[in-house]
Amino acid sequence: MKHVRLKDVSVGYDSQIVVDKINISFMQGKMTCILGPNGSGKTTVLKTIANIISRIGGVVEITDMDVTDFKPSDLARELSVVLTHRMELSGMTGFDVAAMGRYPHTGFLGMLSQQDIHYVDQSIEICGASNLKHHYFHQLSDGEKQKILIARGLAQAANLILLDEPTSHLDIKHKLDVLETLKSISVHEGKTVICTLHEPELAIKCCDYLVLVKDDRILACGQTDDVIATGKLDELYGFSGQLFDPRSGLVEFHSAASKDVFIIGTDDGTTSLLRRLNRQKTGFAAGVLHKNDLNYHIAKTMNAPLVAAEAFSEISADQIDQAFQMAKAYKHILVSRSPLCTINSGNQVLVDRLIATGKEMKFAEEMDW
Amino acid sequence: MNTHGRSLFKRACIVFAASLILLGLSSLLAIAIGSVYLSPAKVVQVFISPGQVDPKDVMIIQNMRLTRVIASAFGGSALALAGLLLQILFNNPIADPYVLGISSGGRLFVGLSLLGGFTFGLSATNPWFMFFNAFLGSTLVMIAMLLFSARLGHAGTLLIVGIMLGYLCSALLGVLMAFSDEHSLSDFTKWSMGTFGLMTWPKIKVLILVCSSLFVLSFLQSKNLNALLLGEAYAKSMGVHTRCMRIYIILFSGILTAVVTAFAGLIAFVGMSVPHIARLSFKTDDARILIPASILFGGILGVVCDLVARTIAAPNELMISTVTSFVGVPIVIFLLMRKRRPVLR
Repeated sequence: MKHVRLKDVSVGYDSQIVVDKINISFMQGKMTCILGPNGSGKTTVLKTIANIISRIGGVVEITDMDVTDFKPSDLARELSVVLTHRMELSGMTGFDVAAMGRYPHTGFLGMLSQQDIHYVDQSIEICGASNLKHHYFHQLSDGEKQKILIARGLAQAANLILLDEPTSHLDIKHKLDVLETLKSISVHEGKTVICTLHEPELAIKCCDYLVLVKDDRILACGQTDDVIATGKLDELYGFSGQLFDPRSGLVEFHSAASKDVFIIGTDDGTTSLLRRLNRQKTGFAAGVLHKNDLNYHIAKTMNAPLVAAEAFSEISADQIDQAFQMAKAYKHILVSRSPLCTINSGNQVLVDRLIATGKEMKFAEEMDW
Repeated sequence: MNTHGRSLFKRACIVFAASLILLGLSSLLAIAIGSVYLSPAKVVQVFISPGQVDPKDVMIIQNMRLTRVIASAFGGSALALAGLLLQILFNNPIADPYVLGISSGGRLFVGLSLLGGFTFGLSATNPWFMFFNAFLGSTLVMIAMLLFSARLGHAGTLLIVGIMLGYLCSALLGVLMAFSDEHSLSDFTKWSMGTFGLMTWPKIKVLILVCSSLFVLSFLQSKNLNALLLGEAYAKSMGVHTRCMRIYIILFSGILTAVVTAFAGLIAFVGMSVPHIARLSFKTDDARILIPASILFGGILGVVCDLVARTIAAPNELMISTVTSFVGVPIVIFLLMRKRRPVLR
């Protein structure tokens, strides 16, 4: 079911359009991520949906009603937000901040009822922040603050939660914690979660839907796998097929161009070997790998020259020859320790031919880096 | 309330009761002490049965000491509350009607009517008219500052703009005074430097009426003020009419500053320091507690500082700001040192 619908929406500040002609829908109970490079207007889109900034054109509907037609207090019960703004508070505990979420539900002076307190406690627990309740907010770490602010958003008891870069400035553990919390909010609590993220490699692993924003427009949107299949994620950050692999979520550094090391076959240590070569900017190529080998994907993401055979199939004479021609130009040849069987026996042929040309074969640990 | 909140409110009630008693005692002392010492017992007697006391003493108490104590109590409260509101509006701990030039704006406009004769046919010393003039000046400074803030959007720059506007208003007043006759100047100078010594009952009536209604109105906004603590975007997302709240805060703090400035001139640092004393003593940002606390603490500070100002160098009198600065400046420096993030962002 569609929860939020944007029809021909233009967003921006002071009639200067940042993103134009937006036509997207957000699904009830699903987690959607808005991705885009810095300054692409992700946050503007998010704040426009929340009616924090006024849209320039079009219609934003929440459950078939225009957001601008809601009374502010009613809209506050429909949606809550978690923003990047960090407030300067000196005398409020984690509980106090989370309890602010009850604002639209409390009376004139904002006194909390037993029910409100229960609700706040529950929200804090869902966010895994029960231990932070009685700590002063300004003394918490960024990650802990974020959990409390998400609990505040949850305590508002709205069905739609909008989060602006909820993982920025957090370490990897807290990033995963926060995203895990958001997942459980959408899966177990049935809330619609819309967030902006700066980590496409995490977004594709936890969000049901993706919206890609670039150059004043929506580049692609839809279910995560469909969006990945379009290849638009590479275009989004200008990766052109390397360094970030949306299928596996791998992010690697570009390999050096120098012809230093040729790697034949793979074994347990190959992954760390590849990363090590890359760390010290030693150029490498590899062959013949199989396409169902993780190392193939890593090396490919690093943009290294490769010769690869299809998954679970024997190495062809053609591929051996290709690898031989490539390997001749490299200074060192490293062989793997993996046992030979039918499908990789071609690599033995490759080794023999290289030895015949006077090349010296080495194992990785024999190298003097 | 959770247990923390409930104990906080209980503690607040005890502290408020204690503060009220302290306010009463310091007022009694302030009425008793002066160039003519009257025992506190006599002061109490004047209130209970004035017939049995020397009419001269009754006169001193009713028309000189009492007006002054009431004025200093309400003046301190009003400035403290104005400071608290401004600190919330600008999200800056050193915002205050004096620093931001709002008091100076009020003073300039009162000066314009008293010295410049811009009275529009009204009596320049009519307390309501003086209050109105001060309000006009305070609000104009604040509107100018908000226009700048929309362009600058930077709290640090905003403070500097406020300080500059304050200097400008003082400079204009200086020009005005240079062109005035000496006769009207002596009281004016005393007033403009800040004193609670020029009070009359008509002025007290305006002061009490305006302050008490603003105290109540501000307290009724405490839930919205709390929401603003999280920032304007959050407040808006919780259903607060942020634009209305902005206007309320400007009006409220403008009126509170104006009513004090109109009758007592410039008073420094009360608005800045008292809300912090309240914050530090309750360790909370909750406006439902900070508003009554600022009002009570501000009242006590006003009475005590005025007492010190007129007794410590008797028969000479210190400017009230001289005394309040001794309280306010250390607090501001303490805050600047304690803050991990700079105040001038």
